[in-house]
Amino acid sequence: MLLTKSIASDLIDTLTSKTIDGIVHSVFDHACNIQLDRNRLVTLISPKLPNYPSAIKLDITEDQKLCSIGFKTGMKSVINKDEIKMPEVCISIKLTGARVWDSSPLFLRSNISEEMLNENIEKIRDLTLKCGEIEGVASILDGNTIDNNYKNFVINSVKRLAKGISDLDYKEITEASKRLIGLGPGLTPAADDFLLGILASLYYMGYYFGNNLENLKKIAGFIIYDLPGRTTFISEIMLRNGMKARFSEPIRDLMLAVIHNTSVQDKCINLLNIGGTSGSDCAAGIVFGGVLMAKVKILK
Amino acid sequence: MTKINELFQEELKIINIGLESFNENLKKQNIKTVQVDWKPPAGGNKKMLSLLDKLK
Amino acid sequence: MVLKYLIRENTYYDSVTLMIITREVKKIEGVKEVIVGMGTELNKELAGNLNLLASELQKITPNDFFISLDSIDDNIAKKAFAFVDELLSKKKEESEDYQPSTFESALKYMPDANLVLISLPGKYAAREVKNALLNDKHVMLFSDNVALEEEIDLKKLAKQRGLLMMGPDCGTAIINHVALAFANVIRKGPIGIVGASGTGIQEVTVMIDKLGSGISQAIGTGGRDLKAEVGGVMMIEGLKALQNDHLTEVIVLISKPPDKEVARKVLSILKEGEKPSVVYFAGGDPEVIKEYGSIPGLSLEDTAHKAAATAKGIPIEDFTGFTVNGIDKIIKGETKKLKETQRYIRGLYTGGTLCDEAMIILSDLIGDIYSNIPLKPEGKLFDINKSYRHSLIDLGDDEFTRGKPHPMIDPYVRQERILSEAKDKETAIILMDFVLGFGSNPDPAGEMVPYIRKVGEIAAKDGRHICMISSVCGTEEDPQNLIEQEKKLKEEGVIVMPSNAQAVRLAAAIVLSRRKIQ
Repeated sequence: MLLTKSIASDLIDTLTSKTIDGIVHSVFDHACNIQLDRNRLVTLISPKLPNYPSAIKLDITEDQKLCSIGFKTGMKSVINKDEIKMPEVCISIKLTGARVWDSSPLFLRSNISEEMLNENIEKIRDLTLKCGEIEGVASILDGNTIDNNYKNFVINSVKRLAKGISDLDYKEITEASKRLIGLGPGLTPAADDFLLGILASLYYMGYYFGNNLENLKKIAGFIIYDLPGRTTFISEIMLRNGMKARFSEPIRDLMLAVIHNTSVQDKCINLLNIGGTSGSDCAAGIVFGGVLMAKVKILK
Repeated sequence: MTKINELFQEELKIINIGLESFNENLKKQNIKTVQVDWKPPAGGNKKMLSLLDKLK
Repeated sequence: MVLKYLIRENTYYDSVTLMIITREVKKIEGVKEVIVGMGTELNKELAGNLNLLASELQKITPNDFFISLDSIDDNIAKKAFAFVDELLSKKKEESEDYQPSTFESALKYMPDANLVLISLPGKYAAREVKNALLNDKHVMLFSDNVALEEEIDLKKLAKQRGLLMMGPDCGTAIINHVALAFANVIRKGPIGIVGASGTGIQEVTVMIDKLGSGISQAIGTGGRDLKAEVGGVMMIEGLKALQNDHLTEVIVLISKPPDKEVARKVLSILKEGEKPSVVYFAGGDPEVIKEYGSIPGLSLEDTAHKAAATAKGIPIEDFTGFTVNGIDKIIKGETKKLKETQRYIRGLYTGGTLCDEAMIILSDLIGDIYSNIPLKPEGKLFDINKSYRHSLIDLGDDEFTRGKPHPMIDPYVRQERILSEAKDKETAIILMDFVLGFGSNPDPAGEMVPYIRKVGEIAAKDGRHICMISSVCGTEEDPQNLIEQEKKLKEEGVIVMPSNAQAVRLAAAIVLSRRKIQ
């Protein structure tokens, strides 16, 4: 019987007294994804990883690999609010007694100057170019020297997306995003991580400039309007959560650091270390979205 | 608290550049370590090396 | 132009793997273009733009993994895919072993690293150390052949940033009970050590463990730290840290003879703290140490004894005797077995400081000692490969290790040398140190056993008996296990003493006893 350290708050509606079936979608060293249906995912994670929306953090040692516990793709799983059972391997995970990790966004008023805010965004750009993985879409941050296939493919769509948001042209936003979703290497394609970063800046920077959260949500909705079928299941869930301003701890921490001028460098490095290019692609999106929101400020 | 005293409170996490046997021994002690597959920069060319350093 | 692709349906690889695959495949010579990813519409479109979209790829879904590549010929393509296959299946079993190729990429992989251990050739080492320090990481520099000026600059930088820079030529450290490079597994306890000598630290920590006490930290400073030019920088930073460490109650300093000014500087800082301290400055003046309120150690073993006693709060005495029962009997017995021609001690050492300590003790007791690292210039051996009279050899010294591994790891040089000593009719006693712990040979005693036997055979041919005396520098928790190692030696008739100092004193006692007879 395994115990649980914490459960993301957005799973509250999923984990009820009613039992639901799921199938193990994929297993990695530190994460195991269980697909419940087309729209719902539960990820079991090791304490080695930071907190994510839709994730349940197991109470195991950091070096214990999930693939060696016995989880395997295709395995049946039975879930309710008290426990998760994998009958084929007699694994049972107790959920009661676990802490709740609040995956909802933290919008707080900030007093820092715009200048400071922009400086913080630039810090992220510098760090990403210096220490990040730029083989994905993050190369877009660099003006001249780096050239790769992804950069060339996305550059126009990214420009279109910027214009769409700036003009509040919903059609432009949807069309441009359609040319980004699913592109790039990675389990969560690079451009998806990039879009996630844009969503993070849209919400947090947007809030700083006094935008109405409902308006921001509307724009977010148009960015992922044409999502279904365009990318991997995992990435879809990630973007859906992003649309609701639900981000992983490293992303949320970085945004809070930017808005409240706390340890931007440390939080940025934490983000850059996620996955292969995922962290860097997301950071690039945060920079891009940050610069955009600083220009646009209030969305009409 | 100085950085050295801070180190005394932390879990050691080591980057090993050089002899692989040192890395192996650290792993045997269950220490988190990463081995750098080091090669002389600039192909070992000293002039290139000093140029590279200036660029940093 | 050869197009090859690979599809794995409904298969997911973690991002780091995919990144490594992409990177590594791109590096293969002859690969013109490659695309790696999930079968999303846009990835397929991009592949199409790059002429990498084989028709089979068109059917795949976003949840299918694919690789498509263009290479100059079929062989390259095969090679690339074999490589990919290997990486993908390796992922199933072992996910570690990603070896970044630079310090920078290692830092990305492990940003919370706190210590960098560097053992590169000397001429490249300084650069990496600087990098590490500028990134706020503590450093242990095992490499030697680093210029003195570089050492001075790097230690300045380290001090400025409040970081440890242990080295150059730092072979031993134990930080947070982790054995770094050549170090033993030592019990936890209240004694904190800063040492400018690797085997010195090893012998003292091992002795502390044997006495039932333990250590908090053992910080190495590198052999040159207490020279005038370096000024004792790291020893001072280290001892200050121990003064502020709540787990350290007693501080021990170990070094070869330091520059006098530096010694005073270090001792006065030691004095400013409130914790008792024991200081071993090999061959140094105990009075100066006492002047500053510290306790002088007369040998490595004595230093350990005094530190342990201080930690326990029991009275301190000089320890210059033996802890072995029936020592007189042993001395008498061995003396009797020696023939008239046999007069001399031959020490074959792997640990430099142990060799030094042996020379200091012996020159006091029996007179001139010759060596490749003599105490006085007159004592330098004409030919380091041929012993003369009483000779103590440091087989780990540069002249012996150029192009060869250190004798603590590879016994070859000592195995050869012991046979030539055995053939010399004037050899009475062979002294050897066996250093255990991480970094050392997995079975130092076992490696010498066949040669010890051979020594016996060679000597027996002309009716000689050669007295073999050793000490094993190790603990029961070391990978080689102290008890096992001692047992192997005892079974071959080697007299195993509990410390280097006692082994040396025994050798001296036998020589003196012989002189009395003659």
